[in-house]
Amino acid sequence: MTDQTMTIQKILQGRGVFIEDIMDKDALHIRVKRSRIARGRIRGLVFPELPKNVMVIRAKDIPGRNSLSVFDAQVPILSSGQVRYKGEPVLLLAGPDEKILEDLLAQIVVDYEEEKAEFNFENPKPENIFYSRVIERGNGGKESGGPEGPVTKEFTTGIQEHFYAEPHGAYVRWDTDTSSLHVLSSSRWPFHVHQTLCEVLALPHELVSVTAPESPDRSLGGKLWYPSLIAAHAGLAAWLTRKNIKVLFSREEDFLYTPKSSPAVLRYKAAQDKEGNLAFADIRILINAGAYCVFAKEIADRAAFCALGAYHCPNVNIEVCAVRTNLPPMGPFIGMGGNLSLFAAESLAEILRAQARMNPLEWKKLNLVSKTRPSLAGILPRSDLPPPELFDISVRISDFSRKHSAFELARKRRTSANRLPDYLRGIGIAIGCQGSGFLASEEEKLSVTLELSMDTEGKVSISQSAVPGSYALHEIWKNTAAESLGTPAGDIYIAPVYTEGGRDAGPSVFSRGITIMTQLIADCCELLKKKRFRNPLPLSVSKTFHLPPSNAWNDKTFTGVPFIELAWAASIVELRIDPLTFIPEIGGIWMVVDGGTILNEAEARKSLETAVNAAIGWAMFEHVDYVNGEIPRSQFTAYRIPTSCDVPTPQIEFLDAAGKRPVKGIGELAHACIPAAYVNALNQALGLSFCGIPVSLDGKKFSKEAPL
Amino acid sequence: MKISFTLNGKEVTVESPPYARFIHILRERFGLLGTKEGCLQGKCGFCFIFLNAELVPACMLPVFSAFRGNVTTIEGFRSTPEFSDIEKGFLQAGANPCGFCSSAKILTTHKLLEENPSPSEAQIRKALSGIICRCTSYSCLVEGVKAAALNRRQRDHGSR
Repeated sequence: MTDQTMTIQKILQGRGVFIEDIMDKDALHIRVKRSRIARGRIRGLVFPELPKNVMVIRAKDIPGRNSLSVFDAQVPILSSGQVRYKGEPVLLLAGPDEKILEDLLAQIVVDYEEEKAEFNFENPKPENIFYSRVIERGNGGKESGGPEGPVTKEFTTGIQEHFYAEPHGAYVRWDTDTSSLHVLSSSRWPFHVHQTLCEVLALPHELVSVTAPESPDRSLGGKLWYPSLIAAHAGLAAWLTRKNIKVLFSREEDFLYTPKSSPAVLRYKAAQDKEGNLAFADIRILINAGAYCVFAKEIADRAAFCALGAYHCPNVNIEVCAVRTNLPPMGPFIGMGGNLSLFAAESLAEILRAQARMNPLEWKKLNLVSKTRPSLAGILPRSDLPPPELFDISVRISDFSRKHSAFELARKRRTSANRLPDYLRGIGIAIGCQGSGFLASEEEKLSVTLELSMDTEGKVSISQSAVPGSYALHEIWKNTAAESLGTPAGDIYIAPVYTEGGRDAGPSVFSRGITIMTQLIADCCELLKKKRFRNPLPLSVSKTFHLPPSNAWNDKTFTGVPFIELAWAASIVELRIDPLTFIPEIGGIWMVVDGGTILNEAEARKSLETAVNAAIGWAMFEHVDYVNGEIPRSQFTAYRIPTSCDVPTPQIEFLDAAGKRPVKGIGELAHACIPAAYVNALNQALGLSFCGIPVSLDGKKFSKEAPL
Repeated sequence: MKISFTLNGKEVTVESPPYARFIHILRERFGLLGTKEGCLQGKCGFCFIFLNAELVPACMLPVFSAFRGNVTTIEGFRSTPEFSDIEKGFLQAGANPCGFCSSAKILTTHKLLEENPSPSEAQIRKALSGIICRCTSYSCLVEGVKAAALNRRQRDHGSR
C-alpha cells in the first residue's frame, strides 16, 4: 500500500487532524478587535474591567517589527494608530474562555477620527495607484482598422471567495524549556509564517518552527500570506503569555474578513482590418488590490501578459493598474490576474468575430499567436505557443460547428417568428493559458533548493519545502526519483514540510510543485548518479532552481520568455436556458489541454475537473459585494458555490500527453478559459452581449445589456 | 439536564444545557473529531451524523433531540462492512475528498445506498449536492459511489 493510499484511508476514516481537532485544554484563545471604520486614526481606547487571566495585546507590545512583508507589500500585524479597512486588526485579547473574550471585546470602545474612505477603483486618483504596467507595441495602439470602426467595451469581473473547507487558524505550542515556539499553520508557504514570526517577535530562526498540515488543501491562493498574519497574532500571544495558543476563525469570520479575489474593470477599444486581423488595441485594466496590495505586481503583470489572450496584435497600448482602496486586502485566487484579462480578451474576440461575420474558429485561428506572429512579450518559444490543434480537437469532440450554426439559426428564427421556444440554447468557445511559477524575474529571486540523499542501504530521502496541492504529488515525485535511480518507489522517503533546518521553496502556487520540484528531483537524481561513480554511500546532493539561459526575461521592456512553462487550453461550454425562469443549465463542458507531459493523467483530470467547478462558480453566481467597505452578513448565508448538480462532468483531452516534453502546470487553466466560454454561450442563447461576470439574469441587469 | 442516548453502539449520558449544539457535545465531550464543524447553519453538511438512521447536520441539532436516540458518527460507522464497501469504492475510483467533508460524503453515500442499492448518476449527484466543498472532482465521487454500490451488492448477494 502506498503512502498516498494510507493518507487517503486515514482521511476517509475521519482520522485527519486539522487545527480545530487540536484539543489542548490548557491553550489560551485569542480574539481580534477589528476596526469598524474603513479609514482613519485611532484616537483612544476605553477598556472595561478585565479579569486577571485576560491579556490585552496592542501594537506597542510587539517586540519586533509590526508588519509582514510579501514581496513589495507590507501588512501591519496590529494597527499602530492608522486603519485602512473595516475589519483591520486593532488589538488582541488573549484568555482561557472564548465566550468571555467575545463579551469583553464588545465592551471595548475605540474612538476613531474618521477620514474619507476610497472604495472606488474604477476611476482611481493617481495617488491610489499602487503599481502600474504600461506596454506599447507598434504605433502604440493608435486607432486603425477596417471599415466597421473600433469596438469599445468595458468588461468586469467579480469578487470570488475562496470558501476553504478548513477555516483559517493556527496553533502555537510554547516550549518552556527552550523558550521556543512551534507553530501548526494551514499555510501554503510555511517559511513565510516562520520568517514573519521571527521578525515580529525579534527571535532567532532556531526558536521558531512551523509545520504544514499533513492533508493537502486545494491551491486556491487564499492561504499564501494570510495564515502568516494569523500565526503572528497567535505567536505574539504565546510569546507574551508564555502559554499555548489556539486560534480558529468561525466560518462567518473567515468569510467576512479574509482576502478575496481581486475584482477588475477592463476597458477595451480594438479594431480589425477587413480580413478580420486584429489591427489595434487600446486597453486599460484596473484591478482592486484592497488596502495593502498583496501580490499586486504579479497579478497586474499576469493581467498585462494575458490582455490580448492568445492573439497577435501589431499596434497595442496597454495600461494595467493595481489600485489601493480601503477594502480588506484583495489578491490571489486561481488564475492570479491572468484570468481577469483572458475573460475580457476572449469575450472581445467573440464580438470582433461577429463583426467580421466569421465563425469563431476561423477568427481565432487567423489571429492566433505563432512563431511568426509575436505575442505581447515577443516571439514565444515553440513549446509556449498555443497549438491550433486545441481548437480542432475541442470543436470535433463537442460538435461545436454544427451546434453553433444550429443555435444561431434558431435564435434568428426565434427573433423573426416572435415565438417562445422550449429552451434558448447557446455554445461558446474560449482559449486561455497558465504560466507555471511566478513571472520569471520574481521566480529567479526565490532561489528554490532541494536536497536529496541516499544512505548506505540505497534508501533515498528528499528534503524540500513545497506544500503538496494534491495527494498524488508525493507519488509523482517518488516515481520520478525511482525511475531515474532504478530504486523501488518504496525506498524513497519525502520528508514532511518542516521549517526547522529546511530551505524556503516559496509559496506553493502556480503549479510550482509539479514543475519546479519535479525538475529539481530529476536534476538531483542525475547528479547523485554521477557522484556514485566515484564516491561511496551515503551521499547527499542539492540543486537550486535557475531559469535556463534561453528563458531570458526583460522585466523593464516586458519581453522575452515570461514563465518557466506556458500551458494552453481551449474550452467549450454548451448551455440551455429556460425562457420562463431564465435559469441557465450547463449541458456540456469540453476542454482540450496542452499541458506538456502529463505525469499522472488521472490526477491531472481530477485537478482540472475540480478547477472547472470553481471557474463555473465565478462565471455563474459566486460574488461578494462590499457595501461601504464591508460585506453584509446576509451574504454569508446567501453565498453559494457550485454543487454536484450544477456542473456536468467535463470531457477532457490532453494534447500529446505522453511525449517527451516539459511538465507544465495546468491547475489554473479552467479559470483562464471556462468563464469566457460560458458567457459566449449565454450571449448566443440570449442574443445579448453580457460583458461582466458573474452574469446575473435578474430583470434589472438583463434589460441593460446591449443586443449583439 | 442529563441526556442519555446510544452513541456508536454504547449507552452514554451527558449533562448539558438542552439546547447545546450536538456537534459541540460530540467533539468536546466525547472527542469524536471525525465530525467537523462547518458553517453552523446546516448548510455545508460537514457535520452530518446519523440520528435514528436519519442523516442530520449535528450543528443544527440541540442535544436534547438525541434523547433516547441512536447516534452514529464516522467513528462508529468505520468499523462496519458497509464502510469498507464505501472506502474501497472511493479508493478504486480515486475519489479523495478532503478531511473536512469526507465523513459527510461517506455517511451520505451509505444513506443513499440504503435507500437505493443501484443509484443512477443523477441520483448520486443529487444526494451529494448537500455537501458544499471545493475539494474534489464530482465525477470521481460519482464513480466512487457506484463502485461502493457494486461492492455492497457483491458482498450482500455474492454476484453482480
